[in-house]
Amino acid sequence: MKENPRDEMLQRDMREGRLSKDGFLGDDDRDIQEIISDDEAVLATVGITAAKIADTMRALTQEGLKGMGEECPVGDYMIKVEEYMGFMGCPFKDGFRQAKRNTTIRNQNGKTMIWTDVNIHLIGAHGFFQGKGAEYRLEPMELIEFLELKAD
Amino acid sequence: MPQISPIVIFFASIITSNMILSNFLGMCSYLSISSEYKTATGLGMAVTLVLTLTTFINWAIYHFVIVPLEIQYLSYIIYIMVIAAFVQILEMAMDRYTPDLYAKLGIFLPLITVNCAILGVTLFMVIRQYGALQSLVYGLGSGLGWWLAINMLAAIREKLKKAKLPPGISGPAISFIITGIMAMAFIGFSGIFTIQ
Amino acid sequence: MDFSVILRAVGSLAVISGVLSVMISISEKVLNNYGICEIDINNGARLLKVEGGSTLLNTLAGEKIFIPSACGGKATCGLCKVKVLEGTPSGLLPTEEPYINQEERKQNVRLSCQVKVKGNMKLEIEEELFNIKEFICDVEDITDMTYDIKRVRLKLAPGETINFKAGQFMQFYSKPYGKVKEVVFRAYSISSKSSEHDHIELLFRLVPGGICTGYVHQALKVGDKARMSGPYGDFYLRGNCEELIMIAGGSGLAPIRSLVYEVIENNLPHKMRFFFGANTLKDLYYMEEFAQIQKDYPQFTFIPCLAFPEAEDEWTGVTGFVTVALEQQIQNGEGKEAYLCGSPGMLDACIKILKDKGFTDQTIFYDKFS
Repeated sequence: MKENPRDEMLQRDMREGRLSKDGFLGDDDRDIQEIISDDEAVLATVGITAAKIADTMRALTQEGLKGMGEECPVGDYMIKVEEYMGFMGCPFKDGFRQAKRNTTIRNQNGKTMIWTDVNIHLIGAHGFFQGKGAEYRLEPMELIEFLELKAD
Repeated sequence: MPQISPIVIFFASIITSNMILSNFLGMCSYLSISSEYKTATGLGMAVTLVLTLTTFINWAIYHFVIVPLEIQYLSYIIYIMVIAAFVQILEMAMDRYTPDLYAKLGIFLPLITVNCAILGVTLFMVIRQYGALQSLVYGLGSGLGWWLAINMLAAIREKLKKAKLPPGISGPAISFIITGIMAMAFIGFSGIFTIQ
Repeated sequence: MDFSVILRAVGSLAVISGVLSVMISISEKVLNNYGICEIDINNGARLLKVEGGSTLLNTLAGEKIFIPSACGGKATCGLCKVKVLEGTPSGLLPTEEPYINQEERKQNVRLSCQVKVKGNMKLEIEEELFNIKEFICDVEDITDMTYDIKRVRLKLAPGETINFKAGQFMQFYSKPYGKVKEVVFRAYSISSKSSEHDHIELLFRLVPGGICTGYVHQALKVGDKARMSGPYGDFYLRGNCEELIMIAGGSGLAPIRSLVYEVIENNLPHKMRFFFGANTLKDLYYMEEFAQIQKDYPQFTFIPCLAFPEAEDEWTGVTGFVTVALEQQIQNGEGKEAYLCGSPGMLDACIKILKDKGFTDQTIFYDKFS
């Protein structure tokens, strides 16, 4: 099928070495809309929205900031938020711009997840969990389970 | 030249002989660029503009070049070349004089060159032996009809984003179903006027 | 089949495609040729005659005027703003909209990476941008300062000099390496002395997923050529006070080091207190050097703060976050200016404390790069 040229531009900017070293797509050859709608379908089965996931992630990162770069306990999690100089824009070109910030979070079973502020924004604003094989790809189901989210 | 009023042709090509909903032409970009209302509007505008102008130019080429030289068997190639060249020039002119419009439509223009609705309208225009004014109006009407159809689909698909669909039919499948239902609904108009 | 039929078919096709290509090339000549355009910057301060058709950012870079930009013209950073007073018939492009607010819209602020030069233009840009130059340097030395910070010492081309104010930053260009196929550039503060005009030192802390720091940490070697432009930024010494409070974390030490040297080399009277925050001992660097400066210049006090010292570190300095040390050691903001450089979280926390102590927006200076 023909591709929307705007998506083509987006697809190009999301490849490795354009905005980040390893890109947002990994070795996924689906196009971005497809990735988004596939993950959306997964979310629909459990009745949880991407926005809700993002809000939860954002709240945890915000709490984790209190650790000033070291692990600190937040609820049942251990969270470490590391900040770097310089900033990162959103590949969807929507004006989002945020300092580089990585959140490493561990639950009581010892499972660890890592996300960046760009991750949170991409999930919240665009429902985009990144392509399979991308360094910061987050599996929706895994996230939901990890964050212990329930459908309302 | 058939004795049909240009006004009838205009409305007929929008409603009863809609390029998508009654001829199923130009489906490709119709399906792939209809997930957002805003981009669908951009593409619809671009298609309308290109359809109107190329239909008229091809009418002139047909009557002043192809017929006198008796090379009707080459007409398809010539139409395609004319459409491609025209879109190129249009793109450059828009970049220069209307940067706003170019930013909105520019990225869609190359897509349109290969849109079969464009060629379809030209061919219908030749087969039905339309005159100059009739061709112009027919091109404009077909474009508006295409625009209407893609906007309707885009509007419905935007609503569908919030709906729970059975997993198998999300994406192109549901778009086909919607298009089919829209096409059936448009049959309801068919008594008003016909141009075939 | 009649030979003449074939001839006519081929001939007419050839003629038609010929006519079409001629039309395209003529319109390309006419429509894509904007001729020589005149760009008037800051009401006649600079007059440029340039070939039209390219983006404003690239056109100005071709004339050695470097507008700061972090994304390289992809409309994702929103930094390359200029005021276009005359010369763009169009309104804001859809790609610009997210980055330009209402106030800026009224002042005709545009993203220079999106606006094309299509005729004579009148621009307004900051005066200092005229001083920015491009440098091709030799990498003279790369030193590991900590496990994730490298110091790169660059030698300017023979005969070339740089004049910068301590605290300013450079844009450093990476080269294609590994999977990265293009050149990107990012901003890094200068850590060397401003009195040194033929060398520059930059500090690079490895950012996960970072293209440019990844390049420096993995691909850059001594002897390579490196490209950069600068100096940029309004983070520099004001000095309308008796004491300078300096606060840094991580690679934020770079501009502070430069500032400290500017004060002592120019025999300025200011007292200085430098709070350097780190989490663990392995994050600390330049320790001996600052200890030495403290010994030689009584006006300078070095206060490294370690948030999480291990028992075997035998840490004798301040334990706790920088914010704790600030809270304890600074009484008020009277006669003081604060200079901060570090991660946004640390900056926000420190600025809050400083404001509680009576510092104001006029006496707090910081470099956030964002």
